[in-house]
This record gives sequence, structure tokens and C-alpha cells, in this order.
Amino acid sequence: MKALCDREKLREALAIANNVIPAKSTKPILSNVCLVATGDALEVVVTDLDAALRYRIEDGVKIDEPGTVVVPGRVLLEFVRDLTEPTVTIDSSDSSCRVESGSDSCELVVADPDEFPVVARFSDEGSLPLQAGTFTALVGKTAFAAARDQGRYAMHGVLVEIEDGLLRFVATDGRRLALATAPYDTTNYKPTPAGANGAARPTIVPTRGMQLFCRVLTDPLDQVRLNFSDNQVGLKTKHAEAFVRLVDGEFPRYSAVIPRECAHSIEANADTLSRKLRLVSNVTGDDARAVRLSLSRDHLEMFGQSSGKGTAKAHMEVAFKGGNAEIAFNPDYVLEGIKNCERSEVRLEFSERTSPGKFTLGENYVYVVMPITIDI
Amino acid sequence: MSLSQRNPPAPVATDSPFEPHADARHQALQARRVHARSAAGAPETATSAQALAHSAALAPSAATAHGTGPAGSSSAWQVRPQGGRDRQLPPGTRRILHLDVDAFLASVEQALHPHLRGKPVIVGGLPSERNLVMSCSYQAREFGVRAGMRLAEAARLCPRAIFRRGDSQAANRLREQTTRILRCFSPLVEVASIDDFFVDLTGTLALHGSAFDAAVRIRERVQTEVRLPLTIGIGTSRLLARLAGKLGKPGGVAEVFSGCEERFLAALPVEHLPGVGYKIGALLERFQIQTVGDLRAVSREVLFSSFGRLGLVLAERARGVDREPVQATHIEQADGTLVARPPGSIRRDSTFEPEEGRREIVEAMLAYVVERACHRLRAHRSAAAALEVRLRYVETRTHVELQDSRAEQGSECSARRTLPVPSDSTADLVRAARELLRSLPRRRALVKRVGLTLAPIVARGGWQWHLFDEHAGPDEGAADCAHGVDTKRPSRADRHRSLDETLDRLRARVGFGRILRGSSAELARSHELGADGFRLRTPSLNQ
Repeated sequence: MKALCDREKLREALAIANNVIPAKSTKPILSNVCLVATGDALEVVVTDLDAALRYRIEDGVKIDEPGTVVVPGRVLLEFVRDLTEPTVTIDSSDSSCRVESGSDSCELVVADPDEFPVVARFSDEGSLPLQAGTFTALVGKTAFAAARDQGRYAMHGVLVEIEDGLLRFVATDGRRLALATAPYDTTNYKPTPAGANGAARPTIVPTRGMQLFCRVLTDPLDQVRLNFSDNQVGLKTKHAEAFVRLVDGEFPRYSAVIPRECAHSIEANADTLSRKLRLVSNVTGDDARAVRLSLSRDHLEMFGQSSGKGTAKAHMEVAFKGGNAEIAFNPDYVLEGIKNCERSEVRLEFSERTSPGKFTLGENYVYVVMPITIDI
Repeated sequence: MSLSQRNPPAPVATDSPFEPHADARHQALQARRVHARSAAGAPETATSAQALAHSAALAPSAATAHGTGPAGSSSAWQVRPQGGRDRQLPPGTRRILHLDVDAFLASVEQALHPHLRGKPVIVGGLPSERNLVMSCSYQAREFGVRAGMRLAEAARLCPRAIFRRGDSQAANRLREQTTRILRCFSPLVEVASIDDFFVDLTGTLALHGSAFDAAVRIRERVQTEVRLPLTIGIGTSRLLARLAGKLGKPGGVAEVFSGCEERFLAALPVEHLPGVGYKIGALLERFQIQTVGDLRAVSREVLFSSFGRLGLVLAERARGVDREPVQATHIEQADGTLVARPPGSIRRDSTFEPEEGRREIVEAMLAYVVERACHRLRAHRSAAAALEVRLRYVETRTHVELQDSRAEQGSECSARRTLPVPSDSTADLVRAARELLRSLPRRRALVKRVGLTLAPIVARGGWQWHLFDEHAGPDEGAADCAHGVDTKRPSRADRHRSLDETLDRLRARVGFGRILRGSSAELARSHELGADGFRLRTPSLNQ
């Protein structure tokens, strides 16, 4: 294989591919990147068996001799990153691969391309057309609430549901839950017979997969396609095809935990609320990461304390419904939600000190946080 | 006959706490013997004080000061102009009191049951039981009975003794009453153990007069209101107050004058120093180090090379250096209730009598002690960051086997684990403790004791409620959903949290033993269950 490639394009492709290359693996071949030179493009293929990426570089590529070469991924990325010349030449033989740019060059060890796992091609049949911006917005509004290090396995991802002209993304870690929907015209959406089973049923995409998809989606106006199959989801953009294995598990019954009718409700300016919450949360410590919200008529008082730092209080005017009440939340949870608020006003509704608080952060965006009971 | 008649008062000391010609160590020891005798009859507090004045390094004015104090009649806040020697002290000189209840559990029994006063009382159980003496009144000590002795032996030494099981709840109550009285004198009251206290009276000269006067009034108030006998030591540090108190037992008030600490310590037998136990004492004896003065002559380097870090501590103590402050252990709430500050660790042990071979009983006992410890933990609004489980088997190996240094392990084994997140949940801690117990090596021997330590104790953060039941099956609630009802089942952790809170509230009303958890229900077969819980072999630990 012999190819000439624009350095910046190659670096960008390898940087995205780097998200897939596993840091440690029992299969050493997975730490490699597979470069496939076809008639008009150079493809960068990586996989860790849970996720796979095929990134196609078409502009600034000249293929002299088609072929495939498998070289250490991170080494290649580090080398290309520090090059200064605008082009890179990749020239491989059976035993080595020479990467050259101006006067700089390196000779990399190659692996047998037959050992590299086969990464499937994206099938347009039964796929779901979608605007990149809609997808990334839904991920941004929900993925932060997914479980990271504990909780049920099925919570380590974002639930994607398509029904009744709606695309719904839900994520939870068992303490808070983010639910965002976007209108979606499903009339032209015809899942394949094989995919009917996949797309119709709830699909949990791991958080890491969602992050990979968002890395691949660079232009929000791009039209992309999603394809759900039984055990994986694929995403196709102009340049890339990415595949992620779905989380095999049952997502909790989230609809039961979203409060419907609440005794208390406040409507507050999102910026002011988040500023005051941050202010009070500064004094809360690891022993009690909680801010108490006390509601009285048109008035919200925030109070935080910790044994090692002290106490803090903040007040703000709010639109208020219901009686006087108190509830405490982990301020980090609330702030992470308010950060994504689409409107200038945020509405908080709750019933009791131990029942969930529902934050309405947009027309189609609900964030539910379980309270904390504190001894103050 | 009063002691002063039997032992004529020593010549009143001058400014020097010692008689220049006297062997101070001999005097100190003699003073202790004098006290033991004084307790035989009615322990006249005045005579004790005189005896203290008689001993080395004690307030020469002790007898006088004591004699003039109107017993229990004065208000704690009454201004006492007479400051005695304290008036000559530079401002800010520390005045620390160490208060020790004489024969605490036996005195509690005597306080509760007036007919026991002045009689030999032994607390620990009935003589037919294989238990140990936990506490014995001074009247019983006359016959040679000592704490730690087998009850049967105590019964043999003192056939007229009255044997009691002890009442830990009453002991707690009386201790709290004593704390309240002490808090009238200073906010800095530290309850150091079940029967001793530290009070910092620094800077209260104008308010209470001299520390000695205040100590005498404290002792009288506690005697009158709580009916517990106190021995009080006064010094410029916790160490000196404690050492002075040792010489004042029983029922005396002893003071080490400011400026005379080194000379006081120099004459003291080295084994009086905290940290010098049997082993170190024996080693020091081999080096001809008999008094604290002898120890002081040894350089820090030599002590460090001999005893490691403890050697440095001993060097400090031998010089009377103890800067540790008295820390208030209780906070008074707005409603007047006294709340103890959270302890650094919570330890619970239970001994089986007879020794236990059934694993399920051992596990049930462990679950019970964990439950007890968690109950206390929650009362302090604290959580445990780690726990340790201890198990002691009956020693089955021969003397020769034990001497063999290659013997695999002793009869006691323990395992410790740090929890992923600090917890106060009985269910979590019982599970962790049980796992630790199962990880311990098994021996073909009966179990003598099982115990638990929760340490370190940290402040409890808020309780984060959960959205879902982590262990609910995927179809759980589906039936309700089909009927148009979307139900939410609380998570397991939330349910256990609510259960703990409800049980704590119920037990506060009806008594701990009225409700049993399944994990410790097995114990009901072998142990008597009362309102305060199972009757364990060591009731004082039944907290």
C-alpha cells in the first residue's frame, strides 16, 4: 500500500479513532489501527469489539497503490501529531510501514491484516434519518445523568425510544433522571424486518458510545443515519461509520418516577438560581453535599453547611404555588441539569421532602432529582 | 475513729510540696495504703483529704479547704472570693480537674439501693456464674476482692458480699447527671470513659474561687445529688490531674501545685505513669528505673531506641509535659438535653458463657452487637467508614504448642474492611460484618468471644434517596401498569433506611429488646431477653 495524505485530515481521523483504541486489552491486535487504501480514499478503522469506527478521508488523499496495513494506533497518532509538513506519505511492505513527512520519517511494525477483526459496513436499509444537531442536543441533555461507576448495569447508557412521532432519550443513575424528547416524523421510517425488533423496542446505547457518536458529528446541520439492530447501533455520517454494542439489560421503569401532580411549585430565573446554588454549595463538604431549599411565599431560601467549612445562605424571589415547604438536593445534580436549561425560567415541582423533585428545563425536557435528607 | 486520730496529721508542708528529708516515694505509696484503710470504715472525706496533705506533693491546705466547704449547699455560680494559692498563680495557668467515680458500677448499685450502702457489693453476676468481677465496692475490697477476679473466688473471699448484675442504663443516667453538675462549673467537661471525667477550670478563679475549693464543692454536690463518691485530682495538665487523683483514692481531693510538678513526678513510682504497663514496667525495673525521676534521667534517644515512639511519649510524660486540651464531649441542645459528641470509634464485644460451638449463634451474636453499635452510631448522627470483626476461640493447644514460635496463629483473629462509602445502615454493616466473620480462619474449637469495632467514625452526610429499586425484576410493577397504575417501589437501601429510623424511634419508646431483627433472633434460644435487649455476659457493654 502506498498513499499520500493531508497531515491535518489524518491527524483528525486518528484523534477520533483514539477514543476507540483500548488502553489495555487482552487482544494486542486491538491496539492497532487498520489503514485501508481504496481507489479514492483512505479509511482508518479501529475497534475494541464493543465499539468500532470506520473513518473515511477523501479530500487531500492520493492513492498510489491500494492495500491494507495494520500499525500501532497510538504510536502513529503521536507521530503524526508532531509533524509539521502538510502531507504524510504512508508506504507499507509486508514487514514494515514507513510513514514519512518532509525530512521526518518512521518505520512502524505491522501486524497481519487478517488478524484484525472485521468491521461491518453500515446498511442504509431500515435506518433512521436524523439531523446531527438534534442528536447531539438530545445526548447533551441526557447523557450526563447516566450512571458512571455504580448502579444497575442497564443505567450505564442512554435509553433511545422512537414512538408516536417522538424521539425520546432517557438517562438515569438511580438518583436523578433526565428525559428529553424531540419531534420526529416516523411516517417515512421503515425499520428493516430484522431491525423491527430492534428499533421498536427500547434501546440502551452506552454513554461511551454516545460520546463517540458526538465526536464523529462535527457539523450540526449534517444529515446522519442511525441503524438499530438486535445488539448494536450504527451511525453513519458523511465521513464516518460508527458502531456500538448496545447495553444488554432492562432499563428501569422510568415513567413511574416522574411526578405528575405536585403540591409545591416554584418558577425561578435559571441563571440566578444556578448562581445562588453554586454560592451556597461552596460551603458544603463531602460529609453532607446538600443544599436545603426552604420555600415560603414568593421567597426561596437556600442553606448549606458542613462541619469543616461553615454555613452559607442565599435568598431569591420566585413565583410560588403551594404551601411553605422544605427540600434538600445535592447541588451538583441540580446544577448539572440547570446548565442545560433551554429557557430563562426553570420550574421545580415537588410534594414531600422524600419524594422526587421535577425540574422542567424546556418544553420537551424534564429532569427529576431525588432529594437528600439532612440533619440540619 | 477517724483516720486523723489513727494517723496523726503530717507536719503542714511549707511552700515546698515535700518534706526535704522524707522519702517521697515511700510516702506516696503509704498514702495509698492509708486510703485503702480509710475506706474500710465510713470513708470520711475530711480524713482522706488530710491523708492527702500528709502524702507527698499535695495541698497543705487541703484539710482546711475541705473542712470549710459547706457541703452541697452552695450554688455553683456563687462568687467565692477566697482563691487560696490559686490567686498567686500567673493568669492563664491551667487548672485541670480529673474526677473518678470510686468503684463506679458498685457505687451505682449503692446509689440506687440505699440498703446496699456501706456493704460489700460485687457487680458482675451471681457467684454461680463463670463471670468475672466487673466492679466491687471498697467494703468488698477489704476482703481482697478485685475487679477481674472470678466471681466464685470473690464469693469465697467475701461470703457476705452482695452480688449484682449491674444496671448499665442506670449507670448511663447517673453519669449524665454527674456531667450536668460538672457543666455548672465549666463548659469544658470531657467524659473520658465510663467512670472518669476531666474538667478545665482555667480562668474561673473569680467565679469559683480556687480549683481546690471548686473540687470540694463538686464532690459534695455529686455526693448529695447523685450519691456517687468522687475522687478528684487537680493539676496543671490532664496527666498531673490524673496522677494526683490516683493518690487521692478513694473519695479524696488531691492537688499538685503549679511549679512543683517536676518534683512531684520525680518521687512517683514509674508504674503510675500512663503507658507504663506490666511489660515496660518490668523492663524499666531491670534498668533500676523505679521512679519517674529515674526515668527522666534517661535521655530521649535511649528511650526511643528502647521503646520506639512510645519511648518519646514516656520521656514527655516523665517531664510532666501534656498539652492535650480538655475537650467538651457533650453539647447542650436548645431543649436542655445533653447530646454527646460522636466518639472516635465504637467497640462492642460479647463473651459466650458457656463457650459456643454453633455457628448460627455466633453469627446471630455478631449481628446483635452490630445492631447495638449501629443504634449508637445513628444516635450520634454518624457513620462508620470501616469495621473490624474479632473472634476469639477457646485455646485448645498445649503449652508446648503455644511456645512454638512457628504456631500458625493465636486463638484470636480479626479482619478489617473499609466500606466503599461510610454507612450507618444496620443491614449494610451486618452484611459486611458477616462477610468478615466468614473470611476469618475457622478452627475446630468453641468460640469464646465475638466483637466488633466501628472506626473511624465520620459525620453522616445526608441520605440520598433513590429513584428505583435496584433489585426489582424487569416485569415488576407491570401488572399495576396494565391496570393504569404506574407504581414506584422504593429502593432496597431506602427501605432499610426507613426501617432503621422507625426501629430507632420505636425502641426509644418501648426499649431496645422489645423488637428483634431476624438476624439476631436465634439468640433468643440461648439468651434471656429483657426490655433493654439480651442479657449479655458483660452487661456494661449492653449499650
